Amino acid sequence: MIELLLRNIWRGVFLILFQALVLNYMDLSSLVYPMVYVGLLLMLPIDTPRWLYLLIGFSLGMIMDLFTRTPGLHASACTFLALIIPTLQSVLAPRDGYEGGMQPLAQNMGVQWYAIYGTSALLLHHIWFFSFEYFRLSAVGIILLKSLLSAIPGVLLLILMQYLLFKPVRSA
Amino acid sequence: MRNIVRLLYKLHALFLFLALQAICLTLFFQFNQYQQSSFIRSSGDVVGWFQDVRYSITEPFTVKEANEKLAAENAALRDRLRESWYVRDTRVLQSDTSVYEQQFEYLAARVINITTNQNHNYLTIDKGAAAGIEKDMGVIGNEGIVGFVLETSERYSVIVPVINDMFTTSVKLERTNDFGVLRWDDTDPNMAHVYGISASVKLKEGDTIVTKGASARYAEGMMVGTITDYELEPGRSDYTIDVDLATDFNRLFHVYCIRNRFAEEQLDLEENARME
Repeated sequence: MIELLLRNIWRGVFLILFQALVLNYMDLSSLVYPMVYVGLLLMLPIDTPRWLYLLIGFSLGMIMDLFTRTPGLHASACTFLALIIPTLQSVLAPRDGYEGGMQPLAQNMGVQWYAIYGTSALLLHHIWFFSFEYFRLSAVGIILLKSLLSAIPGVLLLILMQYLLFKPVRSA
Repeated sequence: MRNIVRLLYKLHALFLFLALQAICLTLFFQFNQYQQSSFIRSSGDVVGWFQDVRYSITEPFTVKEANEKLAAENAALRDRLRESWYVRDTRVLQSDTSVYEQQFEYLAARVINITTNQNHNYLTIDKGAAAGIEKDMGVIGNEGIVGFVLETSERYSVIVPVINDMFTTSVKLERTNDFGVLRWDDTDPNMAHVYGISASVKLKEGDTIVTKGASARYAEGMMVGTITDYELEPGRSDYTIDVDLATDFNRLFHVYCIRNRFAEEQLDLEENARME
């Protein structure tokens, strides 16, 4: 339990700093803005209570907002993601369900499952995020395109990170 | 009763979600630029410290290019010194220094942080209130205008650059002196738009756009950019002009904050005139 908590704190700190100090400055194209720090929410154990998801999502977003100086924008999108993750997980549940306390990581669930899970979660988050960032109807095309082009490298980075850095915790 | 409690429990996540969203969206939409700045002030020194650490790691990679830009600027300024000019006509009156009074002072600072890939881009510099930087000062770089100071802390200042959709300033066409408004409402960090120049004006690609000098932030005639394209949308009497910004925000290392010594006088006068 303690190990799980420490693991998630280290993941959170790493992801926030990586996002705030490295990814936010990657000027790949104005249409690509990978947001991998939300991966923390995607990695929480399956049976995390919904209210905890929401509170973690809200705080995570607020911390990112301090770095990007956009009060409420990241927080809003992360809270939305926190709301839909449990639903998404139950939609994508394998036939015989999840094991209790299992973490939805590519190592546990398979890369193919994770690609679907991660892409759909990031896409929904990005659409919410960019909709509020642009906030005009004429930008619908650019919002959808930017969401797609940002989600794909985001998922690839998350999968890569899991194999290099984030080992799953054995649930005891 | 028990059913109601059970229902409420079932929906607790939704209620919590709505409450948190209300906080986020109030922060995001209700807060105007100046209230947002208190959010920035409260985190200024902590976030500034992180950005400083990051800057100290990345600086060595950019120092050569930054120096070349400064040297080029020095050479251009040297060109304009009186010593560089040969006096061809001795009858021209030498200007008496008492005729001139300095209006603008420039405070140099280094850019320690900038983003260019968002809609709300910001820029942090390594000088703050302690160095005399104040809110609302204009900021220029080697090549053209950069933005204005949104908020200062003791050692850092946050700048709203031209490439932030909150930024707007009045500009003019250098050749004809027609006024327009500069706004960045695109995603391209090299391009902004100018609106408000009447369709009766003949434009040319490559025309220079400079500051109008109406706001107290910039002197008149500071470089903004050059026209790359313009069109007349149906039903409008003014052009939509694409301007290639002179400042390259991806390669911006040093900036100057402008202290307008007459700003207070100008703003007070305008304020008084409005109240009457």
